[in-house]
Amino acid sequence: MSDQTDPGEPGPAGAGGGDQPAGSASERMDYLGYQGEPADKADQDSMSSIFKRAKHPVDTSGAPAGGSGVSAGGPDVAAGTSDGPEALGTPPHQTDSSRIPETTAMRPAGGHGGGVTPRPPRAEDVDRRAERRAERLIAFWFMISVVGTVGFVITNFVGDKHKQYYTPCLGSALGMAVGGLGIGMILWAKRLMPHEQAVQERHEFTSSKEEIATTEAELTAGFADTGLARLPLLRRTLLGAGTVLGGLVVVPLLNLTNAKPGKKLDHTSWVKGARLVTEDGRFIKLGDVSIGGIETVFPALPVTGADGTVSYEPRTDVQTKADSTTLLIRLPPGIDRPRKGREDWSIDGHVAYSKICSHAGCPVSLYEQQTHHLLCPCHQSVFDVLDGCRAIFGPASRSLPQLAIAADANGFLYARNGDYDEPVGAAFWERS
Amino acid sequence: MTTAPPPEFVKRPTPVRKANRAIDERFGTQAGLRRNLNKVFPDHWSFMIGEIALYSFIVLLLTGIYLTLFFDPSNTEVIYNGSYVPLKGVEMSRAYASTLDISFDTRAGLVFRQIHHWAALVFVGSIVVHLLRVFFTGAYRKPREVNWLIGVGLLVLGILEGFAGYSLPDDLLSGTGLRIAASIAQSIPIIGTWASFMLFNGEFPGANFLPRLYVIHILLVPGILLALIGAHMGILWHQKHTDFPGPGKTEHNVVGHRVFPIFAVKSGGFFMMVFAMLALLGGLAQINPIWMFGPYDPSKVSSASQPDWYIGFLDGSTRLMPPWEFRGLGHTVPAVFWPTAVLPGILFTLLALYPFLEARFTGDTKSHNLLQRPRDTPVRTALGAMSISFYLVLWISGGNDVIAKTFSISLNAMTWAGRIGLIIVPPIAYAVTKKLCIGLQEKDAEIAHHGIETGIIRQLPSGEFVEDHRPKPELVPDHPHVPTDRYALPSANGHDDGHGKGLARRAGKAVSGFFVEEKEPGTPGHDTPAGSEKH
Ligand code: HEM
Ligand code: FES
Repeated sequence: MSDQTDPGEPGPAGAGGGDQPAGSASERMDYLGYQGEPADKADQDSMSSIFKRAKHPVDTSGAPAGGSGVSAGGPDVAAGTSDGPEALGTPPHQTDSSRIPETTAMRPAGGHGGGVTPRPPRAEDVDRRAERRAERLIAFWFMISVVGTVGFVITNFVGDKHKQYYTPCLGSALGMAVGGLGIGMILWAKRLMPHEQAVQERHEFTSSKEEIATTEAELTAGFADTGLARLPLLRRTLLGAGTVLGGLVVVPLLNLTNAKPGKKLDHTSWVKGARLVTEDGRFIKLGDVSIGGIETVFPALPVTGADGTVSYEPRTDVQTKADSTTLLIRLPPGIDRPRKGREDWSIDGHVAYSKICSHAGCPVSLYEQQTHHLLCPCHQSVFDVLDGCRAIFGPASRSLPQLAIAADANGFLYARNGDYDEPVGAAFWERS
Repeated sequence: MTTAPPPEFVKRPTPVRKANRAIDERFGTQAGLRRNLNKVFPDHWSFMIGEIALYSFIVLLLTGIYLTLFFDPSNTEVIYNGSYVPLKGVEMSRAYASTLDISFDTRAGLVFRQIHHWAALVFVGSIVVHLLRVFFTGAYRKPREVNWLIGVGLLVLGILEGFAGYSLPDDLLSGTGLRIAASIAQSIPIIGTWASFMLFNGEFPGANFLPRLYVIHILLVPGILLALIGAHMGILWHQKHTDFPGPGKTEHNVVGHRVFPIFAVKSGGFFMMVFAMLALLGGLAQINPIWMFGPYDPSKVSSASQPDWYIGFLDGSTRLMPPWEFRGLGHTVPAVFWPTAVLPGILFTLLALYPFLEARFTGDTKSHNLLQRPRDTPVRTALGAMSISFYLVLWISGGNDVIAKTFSISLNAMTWAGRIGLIIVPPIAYAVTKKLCIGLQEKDAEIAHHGIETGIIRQLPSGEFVEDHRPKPELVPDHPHVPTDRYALPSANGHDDGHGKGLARRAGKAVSGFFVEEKEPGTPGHDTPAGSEKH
């Protein structure tokens, strides 16, 4: 990544003109060239030369060897192309037309402004009426802005916020209000303000050596004045006190939570004997779910009343749902392949698995009846229900935890062993 | 066009001049004011991308303040009774209910909510495009590395801020995102569980988490963003903008418009245009219709729901990640940890370090003010293309379920395509881009040497056919160049620009590099030898 050729130097290494002294005359030419006259002329020259050349093919026999033949084209040609082979008298490559007088003649002497027409002055600069026209156009856009603002105010207060048109009208009116002003301002800068570019010098950021040395000396002297270098006790206690004080940030951080993690992530709200209840408070009985069916269930905790009767209290608050949400799936008889030790965790083809994805905790909510696969919509992990909800595809690496269920005398399903025997949802450091 | 001698002191000041003098008597503003109003900014369309980011941030502040007046960041459960019929009687948090109220029962609520959301998308988008512009032109090279670092910080914070924003309304989409965020926090080795509990104040969904998120979204992150944007602009102002090489432009000057008036008016107009575009989007294009998602419920999820675009690449990396979970010694490092914490950590670190790595490998310790064309630095451009393709594979994979569904491809195939693509596409992008750059360079060299093809074929006396070439014309500036300062003060003025160089001398230097004007007797600027500058 080397430095560029400095384009500010007049006449980079183009053919011809490169050795034109960078004198003030040529630079002035360039500057004036902007104003129109010389550049226009140069352009005409180039145009005419193309036609001339097209009509009169050049006799190139004169072109080789940097001799007098070349200089016919223009004074700058021969001088501009003084590379080795030419001096040896080798003919230049024939397609290299920079050596051909006609072509090279297209470049005006000085090598500036050739071929590119600088922008002519705007109509607004030379024609008072054009300026007035531009002014009126800009004023028009400013008025559009006023119309937009008024429209916004009217829609806001008079419009009916329950109607379909309300928001689109407000947005369009606001767009008009600010956009009108914006278009007007840009036109104003472009059409009415002077077309010129200011040149500003950059300065180096590096300070002079004396400057640096002085500052460094000042700092050193100031530091010596503090005594920190001389007095080790002062230095050490200051550093120590600062460190201890810095350590204090831990306190507000820890205050951010009153609930220490503890074993909280290991448990859900399921307890032994809790019934399976749906979102709308229905306790699930055997037979409620048809074969191939699926139901999202939550715990209904057993509460023993004063008279000894047991009632069930459904827990469907957000906190409980976040870890206790469970999927109840009824499989066709005989196809489930329960894990070792879990043979009696299901009843009559009903199996219950955590709905909280073992990957990052989304609810695993898509069930494919044919394949008995569960799909998590968040990152597409796939779990095989028949195989203990093993993760078979995607980023999840652990099976969905299984909840042991059974049916009581009335056919109500309940949690047979209590809570899941492993943490549900996403893993964490303390999980073994 | 000349730098005129100092004007007369006006004896009877107008009210504006009076105010100016009153301020000057107290703060001594004149030299600084003049210097800053005469500051020159170069003109190129690609420099406006950063401005879009700045202006959409201002729009975010304005619309965000409006939203704070009506939004209630509370987890308290209420029964909705607003005018959106389908959700009447549904239990939800106050946050979600108040967002519904903003959308249906607040004057100009929905339009400002939608402008706010669109502005967030445009904000992060323009930061990314701006970053690419800076990268591919080498604008981050010395002395501008610090602004690059600040820019990377702004990108990360902008993404965080947007995520915090769309998590506020407590709808189904935001809750799902927060759940994944909690799982990511939880996945960090050793401190993960604590981090997640401290963030959410307990086990997800936490206790009164929304007020906390709200403070993050409207105070903490915007405050840091504002400070960083201020520093970014301040450094830009101090170091002056880079520019592309061009006629009259050197490493040692800036060519463009003065701040006052052209640059100020143009930029003001451009701000209005950005605002207008966002207003139209907010009014006409629906975004984040939270009433269609419903309130957050940890047991529900809307399928094929997509996060805001700038989160997409993390979603993609999470999806592509194989199920590699480290388990052993009684501990677990979950699979989510790698694609959502480690990968972005590495990516953003590499991004931040790039200027220093490049300087190390090229040995380039010089300062640069002129930009490079992408083709002139093939390795850098190829590295950039490689990174973009890596990002795009991740980003596309973030929507692989939608693509699979739309084009009836199997999801497994999409995932595998992403996994393989992530490994083979970037090197291909690197090789192709590098070749392309070198090819373009060769073409440039050929034009510089042989000239431009004219299409005119001639037969040589020898019978051979050759095509005429026309030398590449030199570019000329399309506007006249004038010195920065309209008036020259005598250098002895004492109150000069503070860099030990007289105003007049700077004007003289600016002039001498490019054009020469009539020497006017008495104009000190032209008596200064241009070469006497210290470098
Ligand atoms: C870089 C800056 C910011 C970004 C990227 C951003 C992004 C977002 C996003 C994406 C939303 C969701 C909007 C929706 O519901 O569709 C949002 C909501 C919100 N933002 Fe911002 N925001 C920014 C700054 C601010 C500031 C400075 C404020 C206030 C001073 C603010 C106040 C709010 C409020 C109150 C909401 C919730 C209201 C609602 O969702 O309807 N934001 N923000
Ligand atoms: S949360 Fe289920 S796959 Fe990621």
